[in-house]
Amino acid sequence: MSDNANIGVFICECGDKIAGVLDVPVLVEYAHTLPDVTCAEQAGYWCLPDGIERMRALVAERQLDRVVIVGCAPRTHDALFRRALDGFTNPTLVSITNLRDLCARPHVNDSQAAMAKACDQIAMVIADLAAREAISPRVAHITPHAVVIGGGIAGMTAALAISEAGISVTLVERESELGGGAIETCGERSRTIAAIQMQNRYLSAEGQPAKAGLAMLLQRIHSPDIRVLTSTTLASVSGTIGQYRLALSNGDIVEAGAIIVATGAQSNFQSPTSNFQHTAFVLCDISPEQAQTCTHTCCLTAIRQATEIKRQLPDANAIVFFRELYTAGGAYDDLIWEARQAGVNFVRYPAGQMPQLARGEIVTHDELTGREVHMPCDQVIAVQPMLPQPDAAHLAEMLRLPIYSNGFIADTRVRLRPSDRIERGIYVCGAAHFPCDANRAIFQAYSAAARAVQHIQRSEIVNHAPFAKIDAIRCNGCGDCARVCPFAAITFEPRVSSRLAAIDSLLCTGCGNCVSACPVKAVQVPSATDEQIEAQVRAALGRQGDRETGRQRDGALAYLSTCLPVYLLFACEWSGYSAAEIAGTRGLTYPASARVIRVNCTGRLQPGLLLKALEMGAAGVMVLGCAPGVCHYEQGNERAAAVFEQANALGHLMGLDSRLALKWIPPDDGAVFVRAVQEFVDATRNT
Amino acid sequence: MSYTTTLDQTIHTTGVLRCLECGKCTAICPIARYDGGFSPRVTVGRALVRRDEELLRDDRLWACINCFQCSQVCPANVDYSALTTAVRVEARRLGQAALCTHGEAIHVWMRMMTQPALAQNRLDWLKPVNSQQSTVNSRALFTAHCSLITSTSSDTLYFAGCAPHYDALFAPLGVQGTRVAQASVRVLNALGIEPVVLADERCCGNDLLWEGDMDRFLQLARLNAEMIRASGVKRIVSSCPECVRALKVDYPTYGIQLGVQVVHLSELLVDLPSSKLAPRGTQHAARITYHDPCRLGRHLGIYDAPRKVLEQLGYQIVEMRHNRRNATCCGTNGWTHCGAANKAIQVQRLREAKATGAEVMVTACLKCQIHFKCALMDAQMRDTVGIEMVDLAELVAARF
Repeated sequence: MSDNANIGVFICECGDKIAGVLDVPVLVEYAHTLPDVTCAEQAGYWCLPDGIERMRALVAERQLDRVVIVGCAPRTHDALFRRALDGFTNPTLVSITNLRDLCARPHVNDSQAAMAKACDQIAMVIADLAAREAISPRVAHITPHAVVIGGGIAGMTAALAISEAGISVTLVERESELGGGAIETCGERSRTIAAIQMQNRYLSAEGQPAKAGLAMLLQRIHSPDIRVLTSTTLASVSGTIGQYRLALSNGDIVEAGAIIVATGAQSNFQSPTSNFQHTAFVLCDISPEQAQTCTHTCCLTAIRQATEIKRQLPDANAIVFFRELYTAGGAYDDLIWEARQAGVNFVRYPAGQMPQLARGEIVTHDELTGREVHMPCDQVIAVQPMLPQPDAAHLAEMLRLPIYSNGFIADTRVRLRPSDRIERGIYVCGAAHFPCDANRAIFQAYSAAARAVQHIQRSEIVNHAPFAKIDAIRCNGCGDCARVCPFAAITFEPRVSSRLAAIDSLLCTGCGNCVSACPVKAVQVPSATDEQIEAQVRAALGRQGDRETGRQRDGALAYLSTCLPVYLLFACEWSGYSAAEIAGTRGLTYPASARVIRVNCTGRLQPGLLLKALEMGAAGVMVLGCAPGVCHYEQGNERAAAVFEQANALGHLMGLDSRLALKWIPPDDGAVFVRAVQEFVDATRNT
Repeated sequence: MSYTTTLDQTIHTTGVLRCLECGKCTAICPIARYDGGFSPRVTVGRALVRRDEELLRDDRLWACINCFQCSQVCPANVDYSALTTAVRVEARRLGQAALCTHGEAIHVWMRMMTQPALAQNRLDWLKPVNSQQSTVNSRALFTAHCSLITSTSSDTLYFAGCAPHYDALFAPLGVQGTRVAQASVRVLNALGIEPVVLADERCCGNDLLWEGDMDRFLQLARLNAEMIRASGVKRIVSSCPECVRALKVDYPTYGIQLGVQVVHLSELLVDLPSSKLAPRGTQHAARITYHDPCRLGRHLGIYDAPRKVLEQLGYQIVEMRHNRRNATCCGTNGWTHCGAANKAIQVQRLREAKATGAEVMVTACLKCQIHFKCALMDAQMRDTVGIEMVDLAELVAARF
């Protein structure tokens, strides 16, 4: 905290939405009594042009270095005020607290208690701001070069699309020739029936037979902007966002701003050749569990191939033996109709009893007719699900990409404000991501290439979001932080008898899960420290001291003697806090004894903090976070649940567990929030 | 009674004035070895010349782990530990404080235990032990499916301490403090003792005292003393060396007289009834090494009792390079100010354990076990110096 902090408090009347419920002049007077506040003013609407002008003038005149706006919602007005004050004061030291939706509106029927809460709310935001460190912006410089890993259909399509945008590409292919999974079906030497029509704008406007399509790609890929390296793999990756250094197996080091993973999948099914009379396609015996990760690719491929056989050789037999038919809906369902029209037969076999091949016949039990079926057969295509590449896990680890439970490589999907996160510039497309047919792979390749081009064309990205810092003296290398980081932003450097954590400030979003997990307080997010959170708790509970000492305050501050028990709600801004604001906008009411402390992620909390709030006199402490599966920081709510369990265990030891609660709140349901708060207040009142 | 000793008095009573400035304290200090900013000699020097501001505001004041190695080698008998405690009490008055670990959870809990009216639930661990087993090297140890018997009229009180309750925070490290407490009572039962266990037991206060929070230490001590006196016991036994030290040494030092004998569990086990002991069995490791906890060893002088117990159980003890009065600390510091230096201390000790070739390291202090297991959370340490750990009480209980 700065020793000479000059805090300006700008309280908004918000028309009569605040002024109609709360006594604003009294709040201004109260703000003046708080430490470090050198300016406290009110206005009808600070957000209107004349309000902004007046605010800027005051900031300049009084040399305010930190500014608090007491008014309405951060999500609507945060950016407005930060932009308005840019150049007048550090925008990362501007805070806004929602007095309208968290105080005036929900407690409209209890203005006495609402005033007490309003004073607390102002004290809390000031306490938080006073202890905050300014956030230094970080800049990511994006190298204007892309690396595509994998030279199959998806990889080549992506490489061509990127080079078309004027960006040079290195294409790295493990095998000695390009083409990937398509070589066997569509390659020059292939005699199989490639039943797909490839829709690829590099070939023609219409779909092209796959063989011609692949041949065209192979021809076009040899362009001056694309460096093709076959029999080469990725050995290691280092560097940070925009400046990756890829060490290849041939000894080359390539610097790139974007990486596209197009390494495809292992397909175990052969493709049929057309010189057989009776072709049987046997689809996999899929279990309900496997159905969840079914790729809907193999069935389609087999059906297409069977149809193609019938079209090329109307007298030949093509039979599809299936357990289930998964065709991914839409136009794909028509494929079955077309297949039957062309004369393909479909036979459903019982679960656990795959058709058997014996003496030139395929034998199975047909579930539809209930009879045993014998069919002559001289070509069996066993259609098995695609599998991830054997090195997929290793590649994902090198690139710090998550893996699905079935082993395929996931894209990082993080739902944060775009300004709070710099995209990593690593994209996954095609069957490497999830098994798919060539057309889907091509579509994904275009999409990945477009994102890569957009990323590289930004050339320089500035991030103002908070980020974590390591204290080298404290860090003991235990690794708890890296285990909980949703963004894989933490790595380790060797050290005597230990290792030292290092945080990539470009990857870090300041979620604070590491702060929570660290047992020795070796990591902090300087703009959201433990001290700041505790200062808010103290401010919310500060007047407990008055109640205990029986101290009376004078005149305008007499509202403060209406002391209620205080319930602290640690609410994550993506769920609990936003639900609280919505409750206010909808005019729902709940006890004014509840004070909301906004955190960016509930995974930031620690058991000690929750218990300390009880120690300091809170009547109850509740954590409100995103439900499992929808956390904006991927798994912050898992951390929160673990934290709560620990706090609850210690609370139980002291007979205080009834005063602790954890609730998952949807972000947009004010009624759920109100119910949760009311239930909690009622429950603790009865203990 | 409140604590009113001043820095002036402390300097006299702790022998600071005798300091020869020889530097042996700093040479042996395990923290100073890894943290160049910490020096016992400099701290004593500051006290000597009364550079109070530097003394009280030095953030390294909180780095000392109270292992007693310095006072053991000091030729002038300076009581560094007592000096540190007293200076910390003073520093706290200036608003200085130790940096708490684990998000301050343990400290908040310890502080809240000073409130007289607290509806604690401390006895869940006394419920009958079920088939969840203590294991070492995946071999079952303490498997007794039994009830733990306590009474209200014994002359022995088992002071459980906070160990059974640390599992909430340290279970992910593979620590089972509850098992240690259960094993201890099982062992006492097997010896014919049905101990008193206080339902409203409070933290012994060792950590708060070491941190300089004298008022709260005294408050905890008073609450415990009242209950202990009311119980009518003649003797207190604990499996935690820090609790033993607090009850036996610190309470009387600061004016709280319990009027009872205080012993560590190992002291009661030196003469085990061998006829009642089940055979060791080949599935248990024969070669073990024993880690002397600082609070049991250098603080209380108990080195032989745990070893006698292990020998009776048929174990062959392979001593670490530094053992008994030279044993090195586990880096514990009352859940404060932990960092890279503490980790280095732990790794060094684990290296010594590994070098003995023993499969298992036995210790008689749960905090030692927690701290070593924390060091092994570092995956690369697990590979190089990982070793199984078990508490003495569990080994004994497994044989009854």
